[in-house]
Formats: sequence, C-alpha cells, structure tokens
Amino acid sequence: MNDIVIDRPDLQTPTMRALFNALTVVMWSFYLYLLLPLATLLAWWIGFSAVYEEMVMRRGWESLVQLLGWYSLVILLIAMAQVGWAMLNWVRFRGKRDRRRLRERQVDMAIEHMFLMDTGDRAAWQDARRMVVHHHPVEHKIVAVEVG
Amino acid sequence: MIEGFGTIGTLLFGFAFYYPLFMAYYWMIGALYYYHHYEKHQGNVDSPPQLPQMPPVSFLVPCHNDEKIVAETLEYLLLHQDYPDFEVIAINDGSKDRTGQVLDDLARRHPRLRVVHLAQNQGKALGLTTAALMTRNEFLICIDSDALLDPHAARWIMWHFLSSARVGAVTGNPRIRNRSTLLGRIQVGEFSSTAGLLKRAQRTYGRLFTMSGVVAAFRKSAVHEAGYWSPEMLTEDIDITWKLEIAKWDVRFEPRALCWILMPETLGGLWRQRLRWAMGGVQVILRRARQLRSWRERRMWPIFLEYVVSMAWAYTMMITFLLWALGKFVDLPAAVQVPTLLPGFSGVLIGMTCMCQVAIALMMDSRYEKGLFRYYFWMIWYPVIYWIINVFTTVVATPRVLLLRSGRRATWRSPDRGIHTT
Repeated sequence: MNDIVIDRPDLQTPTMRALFNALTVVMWSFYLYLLLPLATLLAWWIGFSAVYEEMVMRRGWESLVQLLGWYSLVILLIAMAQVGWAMLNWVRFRGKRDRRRLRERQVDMAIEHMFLMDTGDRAAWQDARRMVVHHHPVEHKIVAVEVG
Repeated sequence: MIEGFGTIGTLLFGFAFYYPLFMAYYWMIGALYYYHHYEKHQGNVDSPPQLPQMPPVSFLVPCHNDEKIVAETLEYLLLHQDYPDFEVIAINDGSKDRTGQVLDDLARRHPRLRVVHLAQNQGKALGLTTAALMTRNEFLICIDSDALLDPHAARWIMWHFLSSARVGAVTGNPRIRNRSTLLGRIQVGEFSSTAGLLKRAQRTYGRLFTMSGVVAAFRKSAVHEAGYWSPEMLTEDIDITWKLEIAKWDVRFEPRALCWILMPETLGGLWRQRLRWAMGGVQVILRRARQLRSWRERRMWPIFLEYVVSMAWAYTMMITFLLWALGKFVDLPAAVQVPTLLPGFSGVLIGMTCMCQVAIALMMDSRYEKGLFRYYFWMIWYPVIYWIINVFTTVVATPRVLLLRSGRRATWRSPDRGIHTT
C-alpha cells in the first residue's frame, strides 16, 4: 500500500514542519500534566511527605477510591448491557438469516411513479455506453435522455 | 474533581466530562466485542472468502469538476478490481471543467466504463439515483471520484450480500491517503477511531448511524424500496442509511473492504467538510424523528438518542467554557460558577481513556494496514481537535439547518483534497 499513501512532508515549508512538531510535543506535555495527580500518587508511594499529608492526613485517597469505584461500576454496567444485548440478538437471530427472502420478492421495481420515465427507452439507456440526462429543474425527475 | 462548584456549574461540568468518558468505554467495549466475534478469525484483506456465485456488480462514481483526479480513480478501479463481472458508471454531474471529456476519452479505451453526463449539476444524490436507473445490475458499489478502492473490496462486500437476503447495504473501511501534514496525520487515527471503532460498536448493537458515503454498496431493490437517495439532504449517506434501516434492511460494515481516500489538509477545508457533515446529521435527525415514534422503530431509538445527546453535549461544552471565561471578568452567582476547566483525577482518566481508545482503534486497523502505530505520536491532538471541531460545527450547524429552505437540491463543490494537489 506504500505506493498509495501520500506522505510528503517536504511539501510544507521547514517552518511549518518545525511548528507542527513543536506543537505536538507541547500537546504531549499537556497530556502528561493531566496525568500529574497520578504522578503525585506514585510519588506518595515512594515516600514524598507532602503527598502523604494530602492523601493520608487530609484523607484525599478516599475521594480517589470512591471516584474509581463509581467509574468501574458504570463501565461494568455498560459492558454487561452491551455484550448481553449482542449475545441475546445473536442467539435470537442465529440461523434466521433468510427471513427477508419472501418480502424481497414483493418489492415493486416499477419506477415510473417516482421518475416519470418511459420504460420502453429504459432498456436502451441501460445498454448505452454514453448518455446525457436532463432533469426537471424543481422536481427530481428525468425529462430527457440523449444516447450516444 | 468537581466538588464545590455551584449547582448548575456542577451539572454542566459533570455532563461535559462524563458523557464522552463513558461513551468512549461504550465504543471500545462494543468494538472489541465485534472484533473478537466477527473479525479476528476471518481472513485478511487480500484473502477474501470464496463466493458461491459472482453476480454482476455496477460501480457508481459521481464526479464534479474532477478533471485532475478522476482518471486515476477510474483506471485503478478498472485495472485492479479482482471481480469477474462488473461495469463502471461514471456520473459527470454538470462539471464546468474538462471532466466530461476525460471521461469520454477513458470510455473509448475501457469497454467496461459507461458515462452518464448530467446536463446540469444535480448533486450527488440525484446523480447516484440516475445511475442506479441506468443499470440492470442488482448490486451497486458507490465510491467517490477521489477514492481508490482496494482490489479485493468487491468480494468482501458481496460476501455480505450473498450471506443474507436481509442485507440491504454494506459500507467499507475508508483509509486516509494523504498524510503529509499534521491535519492529514491526525485524520489517520481519527478515521480508525470514528469510522472504524464506532461502526464496529454500532454493529454490535445492530444499527449503524451512517455508512461512509465514500465507499457504500447497495442492493438495488433495497434502495428502490427505501425511495432512492434524497436530493435535498446535505449528507446523502446518513439519510440513505436511516431510510434503509427504517425499511428494516440490514446495513453492515466490512472493515476489510478498504478504500483509500483524500481528506482536507487545511483548516478551512476541514471546517467546511465537518460543518457539512454536522448539518447533514442534524437534518436527518429532524427529518426522521417523526418516523421513529412508532414502536416498530424502537431499534433506531438508541441511535437517535445518542446523536441528540451528542448535540446537547456540544452546547453544554460551549456553555461551560463561556461560563468559565465569563467568570474571569464578572462575579457570577455561585450556582453558575465554573472555577476551572482542569478536571483533576477525572482528567487523568479522560486523558488515558482517549489515548486508549485511539490505541485500540489503531490496533484493530493495523491488521489491515501495517505500520499504523507510527501515527500514534500525532494522535495526542485527536481528542482536542475532535472535541473542538465537534462542538463548534454542531453549535453552528443546528441553527443553519433550521433556517435551510426545505426542498432545495443539495449540490456540491469540489473539496480540499490535500496539500499535494495545490
């Protein structure tokens, strides 16, 4: 697939390329900043006293544990509902793939009422290799077809 | 944490952050289920299943002012598609440039190519409808004029149609071709994360919100029953998906039917494209809402609800941001104060969840495109860009759609197709 993908950063100016690279590094830095509370927690584990004060003396860990507990519960419920629904459908419709066949035969393929076309010409249009089609300017209907 | 905010501020902030967080898990779980249940044990892109029969197929390629790119698309299709019985119908939708002449020249060289010239620009929907009427074939595969369809895609798509008479349509897996700029690279991951991950999850549920119009295949009798493509809809792909599903046809996603597409690489081009998508989504929701009131349509309700809640989320994000910004200059009542946009431990989880979602999406698609993980570095932008664009396009799209003149035909103009074309 390499010949299909167009990866030509050289088409940009060097300034643009440098800017995009720098901005992406800034974004990763911000992402790491978002993870700071996690880093703080890790720091506590390795013995930083300020975090100990925040998380233990002021019982900061309680809200964290409570939050993670709620998140886990909601995600578990989502998973159970979704997978349960999928399995229910799989069991229910397994081996019933051809329910549509009967109805499919009843589809009325007449198109005149939709497009006001002359079916006599339509066979010729379906064989033509080149045609010019004119539509009504307001109604979505074909008004003329030139073949060839 | 969100403790300590005013009542309304707490609610807004909570909804703004928790909705995408938990929806991300919904998408990931659904996609992983689909991947393990339907995908993992099947063959790869270049080893499609043996088909019991090969019914004739028509490829429909609508074009509008595409003189520079359409020859590549059509010749790739005509020369590489690994399917025995097919024709290609190029629809020249009232082009003002040399597209018509290019198509006629190609048709002289390739007997499988037929050309339908529309005397005036009618829009993609009416172009597809016209072409569908001009073929006897029951199976139609529609691709855009700038898309290269993988040689095995038709076989993967036909596998679904032949497996069940209930299947009315199948959409493929669009992959980004142009990756020269930051915007191009972000969209590589975005398409795995949205087109790929979301469609897998939606198939686990049983209904798709939309097919990808760039690679969408149809059973003609299904399209006929649904009333063909609606000319006045801005996104004909979302609309036809809903029409088919409301008519009880199954709409499938086939991740191995790859289609290589060109996407905007400028902010202006991206904005125009995404605004049109957002307006199209809102238009479909407004138009089809009345049809969904019947109990028979209950399976569409979650799809409808998800989109409406997403719209509400976009407005909530905007209001939250405005309240936060306003609070910097005005002393707001306690009930509506939003003192910070930084979410503490929730931020840890949201950040990790977003990057986890992208990683899962890339993991699934890297089975079909090697080396995809090299774009993970650029994916750090995805949550921010995706959220911001989603918020702004939705906020702008909704009033615009409400002000649209009904019944007016949605015509098109050629989009931004990347830096290499400029």
